Amino acid sequence: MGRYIAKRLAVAALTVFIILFVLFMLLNFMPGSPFNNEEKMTPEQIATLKAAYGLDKPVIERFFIYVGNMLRGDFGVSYNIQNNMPIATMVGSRLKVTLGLGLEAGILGAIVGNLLGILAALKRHTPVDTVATVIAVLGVSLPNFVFALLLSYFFGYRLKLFPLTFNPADPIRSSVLPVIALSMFTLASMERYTRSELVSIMDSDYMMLAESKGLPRRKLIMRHALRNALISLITVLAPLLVNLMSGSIVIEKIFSIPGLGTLYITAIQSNDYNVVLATSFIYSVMFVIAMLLVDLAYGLIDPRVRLAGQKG
Amino acid sequence: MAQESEVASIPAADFGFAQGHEEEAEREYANYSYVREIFNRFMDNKGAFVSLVMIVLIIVLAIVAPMLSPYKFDEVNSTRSNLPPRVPGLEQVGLFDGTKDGVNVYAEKGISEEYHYFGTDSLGRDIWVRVWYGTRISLLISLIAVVIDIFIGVVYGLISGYFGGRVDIVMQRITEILSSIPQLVIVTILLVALGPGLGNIVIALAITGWIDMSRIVRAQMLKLKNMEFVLAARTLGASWREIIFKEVMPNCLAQIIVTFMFSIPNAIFFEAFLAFVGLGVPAPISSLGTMINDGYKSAMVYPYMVVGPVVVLGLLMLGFNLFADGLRDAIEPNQS
Amino acid sequence: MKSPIASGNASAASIEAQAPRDHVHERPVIKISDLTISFKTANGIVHAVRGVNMDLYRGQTVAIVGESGSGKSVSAKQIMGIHSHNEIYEGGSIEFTYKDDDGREKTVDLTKIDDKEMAALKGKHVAMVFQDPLTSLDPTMTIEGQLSESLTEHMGLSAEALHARCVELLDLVGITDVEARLKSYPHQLSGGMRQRVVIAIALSCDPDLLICDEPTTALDVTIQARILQLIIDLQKKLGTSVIFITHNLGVVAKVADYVNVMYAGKVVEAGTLKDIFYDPRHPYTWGLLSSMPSLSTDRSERLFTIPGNPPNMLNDIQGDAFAPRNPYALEIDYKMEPPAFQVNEHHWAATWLLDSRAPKVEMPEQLRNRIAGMKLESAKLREGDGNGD
Repeated sequence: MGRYIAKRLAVAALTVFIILFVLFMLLNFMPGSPFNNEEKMTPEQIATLKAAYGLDKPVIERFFIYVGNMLRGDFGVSYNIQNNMPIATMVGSRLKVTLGLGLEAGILGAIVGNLLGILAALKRHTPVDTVATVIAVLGVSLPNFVFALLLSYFFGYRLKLFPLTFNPADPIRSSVLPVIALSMFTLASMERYTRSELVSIMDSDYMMLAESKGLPRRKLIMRHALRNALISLITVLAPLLVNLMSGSIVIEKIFSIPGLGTLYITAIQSNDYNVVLATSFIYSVMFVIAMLLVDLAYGLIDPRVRLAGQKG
Repeated sequence: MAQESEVASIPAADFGFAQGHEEEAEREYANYSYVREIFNRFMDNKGAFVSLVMIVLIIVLAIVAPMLSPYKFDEVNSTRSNLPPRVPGLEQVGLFDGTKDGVNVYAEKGISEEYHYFGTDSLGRDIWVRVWYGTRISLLISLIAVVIDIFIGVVYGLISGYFGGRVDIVMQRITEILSSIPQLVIVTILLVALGPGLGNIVIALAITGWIDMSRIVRAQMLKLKNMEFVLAARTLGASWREIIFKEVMPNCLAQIIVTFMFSIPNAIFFEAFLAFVGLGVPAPISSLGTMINDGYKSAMVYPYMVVGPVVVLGLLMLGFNLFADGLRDAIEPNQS
Repeated sequence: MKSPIASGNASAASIEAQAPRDHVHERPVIKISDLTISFKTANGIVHAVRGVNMDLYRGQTVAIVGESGSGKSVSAKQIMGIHSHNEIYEGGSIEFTYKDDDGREKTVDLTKIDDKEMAALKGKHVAMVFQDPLTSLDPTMTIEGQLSESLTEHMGLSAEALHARCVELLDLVGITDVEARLKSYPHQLSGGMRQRVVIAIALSCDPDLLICDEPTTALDVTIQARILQLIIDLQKKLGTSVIFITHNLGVVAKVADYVNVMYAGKVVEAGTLKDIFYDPRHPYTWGLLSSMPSLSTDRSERLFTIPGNPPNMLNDIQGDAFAPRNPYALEIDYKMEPPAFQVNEHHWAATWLLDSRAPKVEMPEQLRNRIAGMKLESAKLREGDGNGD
């Protein structure tokens, strides 16, 4: 197990490094220059600015300087959004908001989706199952912004129950609609997967054997079906995390939430090279860490992985 | 089951040896084919059937509606901006009658002979035409992107799976690393680097979307390549090209089609996502994504500006997802 | 549904009298009558079991043999109360007789009782060994956990007694290093070992009836023989009644007292092991016996195969389902389903060839030689046994 963890950690670190390299190189081809008012500057002025920001050095060298700075927590400075503001400062509070939003939506979606899925599987071919299936199909198929617009129109604009845009003075009520809108895909996928996994487990040979022991249905489900279903659920967390991430960018924009996503969009629109690089990188790192945690959790829970190598 | 008296009354002639029943045995399995079975199961699935109708309807409207309408998608006219929807026939019932807050805006502006089914936007462009024009663009982007990434994915997966060994290990490492970068980051960075534009969106989507496909095809290849019919072809001296494309690929077709269907809504979503991030198709071209991005800010005041594109986008994604679901269930019936 | 026994023939009698042992005063452990089961599929209704009749007496082993899709597994799963959601019960009964906690004999119709009553019987009075040991055990639970489940459910043993019983059970099925094995997870054991565990689970509450559904099919050939021998030994030792499902006549010859040959959802011939192997009457049984490979088969002899395919169970079958593949088919086979003709008091077959009006058809020459060879061989074996004593 220790070796398994060490190996996964090493792979993750290498992946992060490669991602940073790829992003850095791609952005290096970004058209235009990061400086506004370029046309009003003389070539000498541009050269001085470039030298000041270290942009006159070869790409590879700049990459390693960047990595070195980053390891010390220095992501460089913003060029356009807020002049010369250190990116680390810009990102800090926003990251917390985004993580909070994602976590709340993820947990809400996972719990509700799971319960719905279990209910649907146990009440297979009944109206309960049909309703759950419809919710799942809608949630998986419709993009998050559809839910966001629907929720804010009815609960925000018409009923005036929740604010339409993020209100820093009332963070809890302001985050109800965004969290629900963002959780829909997770909820629906969880429902779907839990149901299909449970259904196929209920038809599996080992359930047939457990059933042939004369166990009451409740024990069959708790002891055999749910345990196996939940273990395999871990493997589908990956696409959900991806969706939470892309979803949070859209949701933050719609509800004007001061998170990483809005910063990302502003940076892209204002060609702010360093901020785009830093935020892209942070998103990637969040993704890699989440994958790593999923992998490790899977290793801890499933005896087939946990006990690998101890075959006797 | 035979009864006593019945058995006793059987004519003696019936106890002769049977003759001429060969074709009866043949008929047993005559109307029993794999494709037909899939088709039956698909049609039995109400959701799948409805989705098929929905997709066809949307595609037809996307092609026909802009041609039949008197308005152009980019025809700006400030005299008829922000008009609410007005549909002939329905207006008699009080629905979509072109009124806002009790005032008939069309009459007010002196254009009561005009009908804008979905209303007009702030520049006075007809939303009905723009929606169907945008549907064309969205569908075009996603179809081209998906076709390209299916092609890359299939070839990559087949080669990786067929040759195995070191080739496979290297190719698998590459996909592992690529798939550990979130697709949205790569797509946006690519677009930032390439600059927005219809072609660039297609390229960005195509070069990031093929990994799932390659995985599925590779797994299928690994499974099939040691099966008897492939071994037989190999003993008969078939080249690797023949084995890959003539023996294995036809057997992956079902999975490829299903993945293709699932990839389309994903691409449609990504197109809309890019529009939201500000990297959508540049004006004057519009897609469903850019229309939603333009309309959502005023969605509370002029909800009809965003309802049209949102509904069509939603139905498209729903339709393709349901269609793919139905197809998968029809091909692998024991999954549901 | 009428009784399958036709008295149009002179020697009609009751199936109950089929066993040589005096069964007049004994209730069969399992008595299946006219069991009919269908499945709803996208392509239509599949008539999987079309009126099965079968008896099993205490302490004996009855084999059900037939091709895949002949309905043998479905019939057995009915006894276990294992139903799939698209299954339609069309009729018939399964009477099960067992000794309750006070040692009194009780008879229930398994098709009539509810899930709760069925659960009380399952694991305790009826148990089953499944085909594939690699998928039969829960991958997330230790062997001890899975082994003790039915014991806690039905016996209410104390923790120590429970552990002792688990050890005893693994010992019984020939597993060594018991303590370590109890703590293992299924993936740590080999296929043969896992099937031993499955057998131990089935026997844990000392059931009246054990159903073995092709218990050796998924195993390596070398392991197959050992598992088979284990089942035979345990059956003798514990006196359990066994229903043994297989498509392999070689296995049947080793384990069975009685044999039911199934084809297209029906039993077409039933009798003692001797009846079926030495005096088969149904052309399908002839085909099965002829296609059984054996060591004594002459090398120049080509292995026989039954021509054609089993019928499509989606269609309504007119007359005898086997007729299209039967080289001796009569006109009547295409018109009316044959009744069961009694050969002797424990042997019957459902084929019109046994009707007094039918032309005399003898079994194929090749098969007769084969049977003669088998008889000779078993005589030799018996002689050998006698000398050994």
